[in-house]
Amino acid sequence: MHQTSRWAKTSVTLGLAVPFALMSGFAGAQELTIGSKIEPGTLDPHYRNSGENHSHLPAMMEYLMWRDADLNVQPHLITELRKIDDVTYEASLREGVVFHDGSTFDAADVAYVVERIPAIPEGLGDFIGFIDEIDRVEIVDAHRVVFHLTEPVADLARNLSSVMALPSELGLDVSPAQFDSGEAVIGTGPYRLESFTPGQGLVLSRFDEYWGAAPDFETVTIQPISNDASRVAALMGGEVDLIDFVPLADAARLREDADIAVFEAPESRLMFAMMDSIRDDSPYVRGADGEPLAENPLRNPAVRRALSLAIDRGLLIDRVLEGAGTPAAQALSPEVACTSADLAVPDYDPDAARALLAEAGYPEGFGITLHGPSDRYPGGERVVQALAQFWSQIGLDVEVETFTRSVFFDRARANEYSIYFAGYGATTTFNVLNAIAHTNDPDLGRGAANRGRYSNPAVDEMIVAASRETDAETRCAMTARINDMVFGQDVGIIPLYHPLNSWAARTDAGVTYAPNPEGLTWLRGASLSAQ
Amino acid sequence: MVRFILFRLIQGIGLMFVIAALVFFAVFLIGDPVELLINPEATQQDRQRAIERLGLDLPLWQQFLTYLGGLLQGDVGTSWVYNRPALEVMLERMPATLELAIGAVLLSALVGIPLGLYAGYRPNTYLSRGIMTGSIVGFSLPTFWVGIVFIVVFAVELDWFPVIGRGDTVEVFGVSTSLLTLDGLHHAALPILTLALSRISLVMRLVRSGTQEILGQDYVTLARAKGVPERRILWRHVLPNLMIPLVTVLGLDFAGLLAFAIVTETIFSWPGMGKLIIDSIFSLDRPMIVAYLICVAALFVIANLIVDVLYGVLDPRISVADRGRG
Repeated sequence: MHQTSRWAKTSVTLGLAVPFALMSGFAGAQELTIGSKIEPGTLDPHYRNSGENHSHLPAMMEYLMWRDADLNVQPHLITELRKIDDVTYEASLREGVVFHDGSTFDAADVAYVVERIPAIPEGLGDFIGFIDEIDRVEIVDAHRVVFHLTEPVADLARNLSSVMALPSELGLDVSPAQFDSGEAVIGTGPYRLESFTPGQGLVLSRFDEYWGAAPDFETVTIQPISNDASRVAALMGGEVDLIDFVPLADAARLREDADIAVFEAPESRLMFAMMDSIRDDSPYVRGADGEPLAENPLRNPAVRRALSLAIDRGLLIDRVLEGAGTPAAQALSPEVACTSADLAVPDYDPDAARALLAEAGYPEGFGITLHGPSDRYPGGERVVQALAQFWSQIGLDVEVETFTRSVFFDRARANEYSIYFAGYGATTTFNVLNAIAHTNDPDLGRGAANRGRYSNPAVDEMIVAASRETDAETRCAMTARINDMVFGQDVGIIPLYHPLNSWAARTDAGVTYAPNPEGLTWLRGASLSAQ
Repeated sequence: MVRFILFRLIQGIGLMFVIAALVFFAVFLIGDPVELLINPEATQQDRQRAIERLGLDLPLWQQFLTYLGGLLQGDVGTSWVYNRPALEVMLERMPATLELAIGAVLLSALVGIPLGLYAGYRPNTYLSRGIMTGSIVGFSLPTFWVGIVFIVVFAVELDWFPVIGRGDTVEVFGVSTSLLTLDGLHHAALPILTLALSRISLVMRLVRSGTQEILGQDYVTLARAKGVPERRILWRHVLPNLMIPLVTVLGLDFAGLLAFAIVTETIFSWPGMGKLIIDSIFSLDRPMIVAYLICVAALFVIANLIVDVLYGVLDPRISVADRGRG
């Protein structure tokens, strides 16, 4: 299992090979062992839409389109997606792509995938949302298809960037067991599956007929190590070359190790404080004297702005998160498309916050209970404590209550809190806003993560309009404007920070990692560096 | 005897149904599994679809009846995470846990019994006192701490042992084991030692106090008066009498080891049942959790049964059948 790639070790025994290999930039037979916190439950690429599967499966089974490091959608197996009208798109497929079983990737395979996803009897139906509007796939020729939609879709290309291709020869009856045995794991990716043992990980080998650039590694072992301390120990002991989800507390120590490098990237996720600004009588708000208040102070934008100004985001990230975050001013960090150029991270200003509270009629502050999940986000419980302290400083009487996540989100959805800490991650600015800033409306299917019930009809209208807009640029401008309304004008949601994800690799084995904003441990991010 | 075993088995099956019901409702109360299973980016429609596909939109009693129906046919459900029958996933992980537990019990018996016998036979030597002091350390240290210290010392600093996984395994009668390959043993050494540490201490103390008690018995005095050699007294008279409490403790402990080696398995990334249940609890994979707990209940029932049967073998005076009727 772990004839791991202590590359340095093996090559020392080879003696002469060392200088040669160094010169050639670590060319030749190479092994990589990844110690990953997560592991796919099943290898069916259309079963669960989860980080586990999106991390480790695309090395074998490729997406129809893919998202780059800036989250923009790029051609992949589909080389071009042309819009004919609102409900018709023509796609050209890459030629010369072969599956691991030697068959050619063609139009029938695209049609097959669209047909297969809703036909899987088990599971959550996680992937149906990506192709739900595709009415039928018309095969024009071997490398051209036309997607006929039932209704206009804002971003079909992005939807297809989450869908992995399989050969149509598998048929609709392919069973879960066939995937787990590896028999049906047939993709077009740079690696093919050698073996999969649940709990013990995956072994992959290079696929020599891959259409793209040949990957650096001949064999790759993905070893699940869910315990944080063990994962770090395995890297330090040289048993693995690359780990993901470096624990906050260990990142600094690993950085000091000359043989180890830490790679990090801000995640496309917003951590925020959500406030109940629609109910007159909110369950966890009380007067400074502990008596019920006549009205809910969180309905007042000045109060919400005061709460935001009271937070020293720099200090929070530095001390509580050990640097693993970037301060947030809006839905996603400004490098991501469709964010607003006009929003700056609010300056820490407790005096202004106190003044705002006094103006709003709460010179003595008021009492509030802050809720948060205890085990969902790295450092989350401490962030909740820190927020409570910041708000105490401006005269609020803050109590803190945290729950395990299964309980926490259940209660959040039932609207049981007045103010809570949580996060939301998505691959576009629009998707974040649609989930957290639109009024919670299960029938419309919007505002799924707006569990604190922020609601502004003007924002809702804009979100709906943007979702129907198929021109990318106009949609982008509208999205930026929604950011301004939610975070600038209303302070309907307090933006806190974007978490940083980190990976660590053994530089003495020549391994480097190009991190991505989705926090996925993608094999295509791992490479050998010429030292 | 046969009647007794049958009776206990029926009792056990009844117990497992009670547990299945309890667990089913308890897990339902923990929270919403869809919240944890579904991608956070999912829309409200996606969520609704997931709820319907898992049958979670039905009333609770109806869900339970469906589940009970499956259970009567021996179907404990399909894991929502692994997309396979939960029992199958569970049994696949069992050998890994089994070898840890067997290793730990054997090690604690092999080390604990001789040391305990010595400490009981010669209680006043320095060595005996050392053994007893060591045993206090042995069972006061928490497993998670011992595991991490072993990793840091033996794997990271000294680089003697690997930290993760099972190593090479071989198939014996269709069951994969790492106890029969050198590489596998190398991997299993630290987790087994971690698990065994507190058990060694327990066995040692149990054997020592038993030895002292038995040495004071009349039949030992008589044997000595007859001039029976000391060695024969220890092996022929003391040890067999020690076996009954020892088998009770180790037998029940064995089931406990199987069910709750969770901490050790997590630390050493040992792909056993403990790690499986932790992962399943985190994702609220209800069929998996229920299947696990039913299996654990079965394990305890079987371990108890074996212990009872062994009583009869070890001590002819105990009639197992009588105990069963009482």
